[in-house]
Amino acid sequence: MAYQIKKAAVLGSGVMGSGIAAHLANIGIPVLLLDIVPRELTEAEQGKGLSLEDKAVRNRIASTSIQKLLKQKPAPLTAKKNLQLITPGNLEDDLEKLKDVDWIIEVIVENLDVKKSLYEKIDAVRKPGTIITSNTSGISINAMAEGRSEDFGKHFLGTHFFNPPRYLKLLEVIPANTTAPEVVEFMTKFGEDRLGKGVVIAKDTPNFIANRIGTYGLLVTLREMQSRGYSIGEVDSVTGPLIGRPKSATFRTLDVVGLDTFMHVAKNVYDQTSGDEQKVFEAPEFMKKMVENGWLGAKSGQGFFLKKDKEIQELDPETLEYRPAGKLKTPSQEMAKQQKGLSSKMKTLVYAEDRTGELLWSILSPTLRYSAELNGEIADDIVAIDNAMKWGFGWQQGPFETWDAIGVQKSVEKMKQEGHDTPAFVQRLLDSGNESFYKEENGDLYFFDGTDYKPVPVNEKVIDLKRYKKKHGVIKSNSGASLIDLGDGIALLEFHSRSNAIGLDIMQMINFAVDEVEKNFKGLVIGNQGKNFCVGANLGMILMEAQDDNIFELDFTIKTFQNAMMKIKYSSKPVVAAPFGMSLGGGAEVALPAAHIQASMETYMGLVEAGVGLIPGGGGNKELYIKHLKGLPNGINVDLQNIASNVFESIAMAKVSTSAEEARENNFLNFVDGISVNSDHLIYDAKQAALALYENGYQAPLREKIPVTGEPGYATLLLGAEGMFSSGYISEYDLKLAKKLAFVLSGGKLPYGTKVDEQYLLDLEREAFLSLVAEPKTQQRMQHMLVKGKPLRN
Amino acid sequence: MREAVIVAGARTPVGKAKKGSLATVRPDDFGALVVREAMNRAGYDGPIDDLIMGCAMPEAEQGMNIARNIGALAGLPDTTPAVTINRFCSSGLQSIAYAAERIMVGSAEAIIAGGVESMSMVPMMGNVLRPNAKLAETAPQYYMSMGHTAEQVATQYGVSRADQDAFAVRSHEKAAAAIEKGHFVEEIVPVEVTKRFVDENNKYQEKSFMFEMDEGVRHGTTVQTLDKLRAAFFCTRHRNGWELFPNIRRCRRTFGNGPRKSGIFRIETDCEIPFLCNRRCTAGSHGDRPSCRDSKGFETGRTIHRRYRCMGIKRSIRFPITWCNP
Repeated sequence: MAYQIKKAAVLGSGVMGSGIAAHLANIGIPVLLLDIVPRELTEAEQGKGLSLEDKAVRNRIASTSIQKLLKQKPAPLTAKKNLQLITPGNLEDDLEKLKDVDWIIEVIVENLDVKKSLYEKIDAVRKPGTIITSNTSGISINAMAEGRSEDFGKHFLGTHFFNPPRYLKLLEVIPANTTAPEVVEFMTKFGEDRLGKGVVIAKDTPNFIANRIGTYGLLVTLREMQSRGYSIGEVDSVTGPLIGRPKSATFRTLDVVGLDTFMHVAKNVYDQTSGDEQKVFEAPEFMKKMVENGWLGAKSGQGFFLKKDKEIQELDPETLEYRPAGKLKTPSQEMAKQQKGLSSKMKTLVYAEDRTGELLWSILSPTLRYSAELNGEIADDIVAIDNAMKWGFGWQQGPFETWDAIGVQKSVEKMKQEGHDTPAFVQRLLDSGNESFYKEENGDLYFFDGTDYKPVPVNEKVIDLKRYKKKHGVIKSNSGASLIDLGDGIALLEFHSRSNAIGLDIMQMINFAVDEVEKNFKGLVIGNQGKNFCVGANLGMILMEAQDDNIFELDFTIKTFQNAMMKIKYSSKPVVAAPFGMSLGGGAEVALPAAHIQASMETYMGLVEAGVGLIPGGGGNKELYIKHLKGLPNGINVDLQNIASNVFESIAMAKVSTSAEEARENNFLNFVDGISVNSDHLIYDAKQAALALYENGYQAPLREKIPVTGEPGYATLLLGAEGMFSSGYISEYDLKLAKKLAFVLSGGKLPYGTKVDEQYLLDLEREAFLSLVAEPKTQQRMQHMLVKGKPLRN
Repeated sequence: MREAVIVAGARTPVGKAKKGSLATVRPDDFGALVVREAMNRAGYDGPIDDLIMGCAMPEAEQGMNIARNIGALAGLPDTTPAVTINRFCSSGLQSIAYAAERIMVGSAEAIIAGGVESMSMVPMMGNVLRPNAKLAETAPQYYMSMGHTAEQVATQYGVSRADQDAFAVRSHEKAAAAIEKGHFVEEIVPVEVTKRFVDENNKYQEKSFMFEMDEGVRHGTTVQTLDKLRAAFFCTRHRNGWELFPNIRRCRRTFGNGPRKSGIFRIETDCEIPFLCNRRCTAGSHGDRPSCRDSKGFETGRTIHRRYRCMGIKRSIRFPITWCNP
């Protein structure tokens, strides 16, 4: 049976329910969002003379949740218009509508009996073949399915999203004993391909995988903190990026999650385990007091941390009073910073004999052992556990990868010395004569499954560049970028400079790549798997040249950059840009001239040069303008001024999109450009796009002249800027910048509608850029950004 | 010099722009309605020597010499001359001044003069702005928007936000009271508006109603409610940090305390106000009509433009009837 999901229903419109509905809307699936019928009228409703029978009242809970989506931060919707795909309803009047949907997701209160009674109602209504899943974080999937019809049982499973559903990658799929394998397979593929998630199959055990191990780790941290006398601030300062974990480390994460949620999750395991394990899941007294006081974290304004008068304060667990937050700084941290790569850093830290090392070891040792003990019980293998922790908790390395990093034998020795039993799974590894849970052979990754090594399953859509390069090598490489053969006739140009910022080295490689591809390949993808696609040109280099008055060098650099972008544009083979994350300034300038843009759903694209006192110098002004023009119908007299004004605003205000869809709304992407929901698939999707273009007989575009708004256009933009200055929105220097930009975008003092060659516009850009870069105020702005990472408005 | 008198006058009610009652009515249509009514009130159907209409954005629906089209639509013979003039907000007032001067000098006997504007159909600045680059570079103030000039006035003369709000409250109170007491009924000529739209069943629908009284007056507004409004035109200069989008807090001019009728940015108006001016000796006994309180006849005054930045401090024509403050 071929399953497909054209319409879905989410039952329960709380934070998770509405967030899941929003994410479905983001990928274009119409959703019915249902919640209970209110038992009482609100004052406003009474005032309007409404009754409990009115539809508006009966759907109020879901309707309100839908409206709230627009104000939530971070935004659950990738574009405001996606809201239209979500329809509110209620669980009494609209139950019949469940017949028309292909997937029902239950996200109601975590109460087994309430859920079961809802399932009974659904069972009576749903059409056979409809998939029904639960987002429960702790109730047994099998218990929920009890008593249902056979078809229901076949199509029932758990799909556990993480908060917030748009951004967190992990989706735990938990089959029931009755679930049909095809359904599990389908939901896995759907989760990966359409929802963009990293799917991990989990077993029906309390809190499944990520929350089981994650909560254990958090509670162990609490225990060690109290028994060893560390403060909350100290713990957070060493359990964050230092060990490859998110900035929110331990306690800030708890504040964001909410103490009540956390306690609930912990209680889940507590109620279903026994002995030593159960003891860990008993929350410490002071946390119970915090909950009593209503100090639940971010949602109540205070928790483990409190922001008082711009100062961050930490809780003292003994006195329950707040004091300025502390940090832990020890020599081992400095030594770790010297190391390259997380694995070496971990090795240095964990065995260090100072306060940092002690704490980290005391937290990691039990967490690693716990993971090993549960392997096989909560998940099929260690890959599932590692993925769950990486994708659900944002850890750079999963527990078993960490274990390999610190050395299995060495750490087991230490554990034994401390009187701990070696988990059976680990013993089997050591007995088999092997040293690590993972190993690499011929560029492929293998994992230990208890007896032997099995290859880590590879999805053809997921290209791991690091591994790929190891296996296949590169065609050519320099300090800034590498050209890689992706197979099937497509090459990839991977940036790997600092922040992937564009310097002369990357520009050289771009030229080389296009030449090479024109000769020997079908197409080129410009993409990478760094933290961000590209944050712009190498600002430090430009600032240095400017401060040294090296006008000639600067002019050469800009010319080279512009020429490289033109080379991308006029390549005779298709070039596909694959932006993701921050694609700012030069990053956007690389994408705009490409034949096609394949963007990750989470792409933050914009021309932000104004923030450092410059204007785009690599053709960005021209290309953004041209991209607007491309959408216009032929031979129709359209007022260019509106377009020029739109582009002007976008650049002058340094507008950055908060999603690929928004980038499309801002006209950086057009209708033909693609969006990849799963960021792991981005390079694959870009490769396919390049191939498709080639197969369709791609030809380099014709060089056409561009109509500009000329002198009156310049005057109009200038007046717009003057207006903003009069209003006090921009500084006098901003106005100077705006004048330069207006001149460039209007094409100078030509008659309205004059058609000019691209090179003319590029020369204008370069002139303006050079004049700005020589200005002290621009240099100050650049310096401020480089040093403080924030824009300066002088 | 002969004497000029105003014989009769009429006006449409003032509608709010964009979403108000006159938003879909063409200015030449409601202009013609009022010209016809003014003539009826004057009891005069004889030859008209000129039809002078003021209009601040004479383009699109207000283009092609709208005064001439209004004449045609009002049923005036095609031999009636017409001219459209532009002095922005004081266009209407200026047209009456020119009408009076023409009569006083003897080049005309009976003139219809007034002003017409539909900001719903033709926005401020017009549909297509093509400013002069030289002016834009050296003296952008010539293109400065009303709101900004108002801020300049406020700064120069020390008019605080509180002052403006207090004035606005009094103004709204007086206007609301006047409306309630029916003071404007006599001068207003109601406009029949037909709203045309397509309903949820994709059927064409028409709904007609009579638009009879000014919109936009805020009954019961207080200093507290006005204080909550964000200022629209001036902010304290760039605050710390990069605010990429205009933050319009802490500014002085707001939508609520702008001039009542002549559009302040978005509280924009559609209205039409013609007056019939006549030579004193050919006028009949019109002295007791409320719209012709001028028993002394028309006095000319000087028009001066204050420094371009301070629009709003014009010493305009001294005129006994003032119903609009440009």
